[in-house]
Amino acid sequence: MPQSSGSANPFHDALRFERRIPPCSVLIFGANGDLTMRKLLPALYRLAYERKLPPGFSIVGNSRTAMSHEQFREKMRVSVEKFIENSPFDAALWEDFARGLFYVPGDLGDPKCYAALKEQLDEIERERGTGGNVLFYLSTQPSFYAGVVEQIGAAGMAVHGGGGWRRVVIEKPFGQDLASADELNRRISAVMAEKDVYRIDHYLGKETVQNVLAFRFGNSIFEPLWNRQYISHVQVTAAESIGVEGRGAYYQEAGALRDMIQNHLLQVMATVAMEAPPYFDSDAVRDERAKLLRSIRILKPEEVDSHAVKGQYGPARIGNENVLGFRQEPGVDPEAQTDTYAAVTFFVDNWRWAGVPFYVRTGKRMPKRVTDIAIRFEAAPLSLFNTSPGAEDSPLAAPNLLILRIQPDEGISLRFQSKDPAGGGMKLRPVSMDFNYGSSFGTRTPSAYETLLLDALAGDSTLYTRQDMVEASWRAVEPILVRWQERRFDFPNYEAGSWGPRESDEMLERRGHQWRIP
Amino acid sequence: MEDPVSVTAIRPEELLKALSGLWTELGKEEVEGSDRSAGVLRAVTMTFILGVEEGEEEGAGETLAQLMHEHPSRAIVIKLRKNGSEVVEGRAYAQCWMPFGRRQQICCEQIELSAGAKNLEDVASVLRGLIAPDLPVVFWCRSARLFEQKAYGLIAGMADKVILDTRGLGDPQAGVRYVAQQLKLGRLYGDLTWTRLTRWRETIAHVFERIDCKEFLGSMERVVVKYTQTPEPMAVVYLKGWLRTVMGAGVKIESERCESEGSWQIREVRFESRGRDVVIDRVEKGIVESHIDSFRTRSVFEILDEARLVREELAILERDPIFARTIEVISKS
Repeated sequence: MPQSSGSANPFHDALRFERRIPPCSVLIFGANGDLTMRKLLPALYRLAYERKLPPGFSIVGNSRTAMSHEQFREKMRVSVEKFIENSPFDAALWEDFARGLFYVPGDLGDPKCYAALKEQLDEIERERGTGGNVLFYLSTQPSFYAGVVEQIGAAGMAVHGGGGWRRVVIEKPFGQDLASADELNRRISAVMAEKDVYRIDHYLGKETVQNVLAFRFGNSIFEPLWNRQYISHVQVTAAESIGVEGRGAYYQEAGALRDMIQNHLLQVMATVAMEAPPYFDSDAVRDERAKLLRSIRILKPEEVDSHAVKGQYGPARIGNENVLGFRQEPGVDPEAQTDTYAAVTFFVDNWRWAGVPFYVRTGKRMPKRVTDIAIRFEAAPLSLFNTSPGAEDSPLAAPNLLILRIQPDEGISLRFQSKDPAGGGMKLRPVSMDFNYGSSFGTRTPSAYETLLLDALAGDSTLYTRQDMVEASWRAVEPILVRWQERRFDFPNYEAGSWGPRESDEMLERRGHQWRIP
Repeated sequence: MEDPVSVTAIRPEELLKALSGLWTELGKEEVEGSDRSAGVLRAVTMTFILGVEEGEEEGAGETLAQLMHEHPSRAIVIKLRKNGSEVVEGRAYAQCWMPFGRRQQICCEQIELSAGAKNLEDVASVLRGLIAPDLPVVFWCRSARLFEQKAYGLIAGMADKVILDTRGLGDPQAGVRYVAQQLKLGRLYGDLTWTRLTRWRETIAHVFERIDCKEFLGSMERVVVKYTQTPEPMAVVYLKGWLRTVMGAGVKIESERCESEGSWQIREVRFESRGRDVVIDRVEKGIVESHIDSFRTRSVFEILDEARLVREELAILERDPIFARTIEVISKS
């Protein structure tokens, strides 16, 4: 059948239709893994359900396991039915969706595997009119990334003779440190252009992280206050109540700083602190994020101990349950020095933020699962009310606080002072003005993977991480990793179910601040 | 739904006072430790005026309740009483719901004004004082009889956008001509008869993603829209008008009535060109099948209730150039 061309589609109605996705295929490496079954296939099926995918859309799965197309389709059907969230499963639609599912078994190190994949993609292009457009999704162990991309190149799959696009999506971690990130990039960029490399950070796909941009740059009232003159400090918290959940062996090599702060939380911080882009375009937004990340002050070795806290949880009793400490988790070295908690004080050396601390913390086995950003404003310059002795230190003398809640209970709260009607006189009390996002209004918000996959298929990399951003964020955490590698810590230093080690509180107290309890 | 507070005279300040009282009562539930409430969130993003026939308010109310979740509004329901009635009434109440997994209720305020045709202008005059300040005003005229009243123009004049459904009007063609005229005057209008076509139009656009449009359209000879009802439904007129705006005058665009077991209006759209045909065919409820040469693919046509249609229109509070071009074409034909 003739292939689609780039000619404009005169039937399109941008005001009412979903975004246009050209006919294409997705080739998933690691298609028998958890990520594919729990996240990728349910997200792609949901996109098909919402008619966001083009006709002829196809998926090719690859892993070492021997399976026929039919067996793969059945396995994916079971996964989609099990893991699709807030959506119905439509058997008739699945039948059509499954016609576009194919499977090619093979070893990632074997060139024959790539030859077979190429053959399958060529056949799909002929039969289903995908125009040679292919998104390669590397859902494999990170150690395979560079090798797979090189094999894609060697098999002649990185470019398409007929003008179709070829893109590759890779999951974090993008290296283990700056040197390995550079090496990974060197090998990938030898095959694919940077514009075709999509480094996925699912945090950036979350609706509420995107809403930070809408909140900041869609409203004019907050931006004049968004600087060192009015903001005392910023706290970014990503707490998990669970432990390592069977991933102990992996986690003890990664740790909280690498697993969360280097990627997700520095991206969130960059979104909160970046300058307004001149227009909403992938490069313009990413330029500003990258600029912010490059402005993060690099800690000197002697500054690390006062600016970063490493923690590891020990055993505790939570509720009526005994909870293991990290070192007691299966697969974990009983002497492990891994950080299950990390807190860092960052400074951004630019005119807007000079001198404003950005406290970023993350941890496992915290009292609850919560991710939020708290922007603490300076206190009123003169206290006209509540003038009694000690009133300034009272919890009621709370300065304005803006909370951007990422998860759960996505929304925005603004704390401000109001007159307390009780007791007469002019006494103030902090009150909160709350706004709850989509879920409060009954709408379904797309999962991060739905958003990000659709963006990659449409060629929109705004929410993906660029190599210069990866390098800048590794630079920001590298001195901490080096120092932590040198030191031996007396672990555990916080109990499971607590808000982290005492040293973390002390880090803030030195600047007259304290962690809020989210 | 909370118990309504009725007022005998429909004066805006009385109704607003009643609303204020309602909010005070809702707030007290928390103070008194009601186990169903951990606070009430008052949500208003627009004034939504709904014109409805007496006897149809229940169905319309359900639609309104669904819309409130995404578009929390001050809803003003104008109930047009049966002919001859001189009763004029107003009442205020709140529509509340508890989002799944939450402890805080979300409530939207509603005012119902009811009058017979003779007194409808009185109601229109009251509306001015009831519109929530500084927010958009949308008027969904669901009653064909209300559309014919003089008061319709007064109410529509207060709205930033008016939503009609021309297929339900006594003379749909005249309705379309009226909408075309209003659009020319710079007013924002939506027509649910057009909105129902979005799924068809989107499916057609998807099909043409797979084809070299320039080449295919260059050799296109005829487009046939097959439909099932008599007379030719307004939706078919709209679809042909839209195709005309895309393809220009050089291509024949025709419609044919066909027999079909299903109750849907449009059965098939066939694009005939030299050497190949593209067919989009409604195979069963909720499913259409596209055929391009030997390739076929299915798309889901989700069931469109009124709430979904109105929701689509509420998302477009700006000029809709494709709708405007289409309606211009069909109003001239």
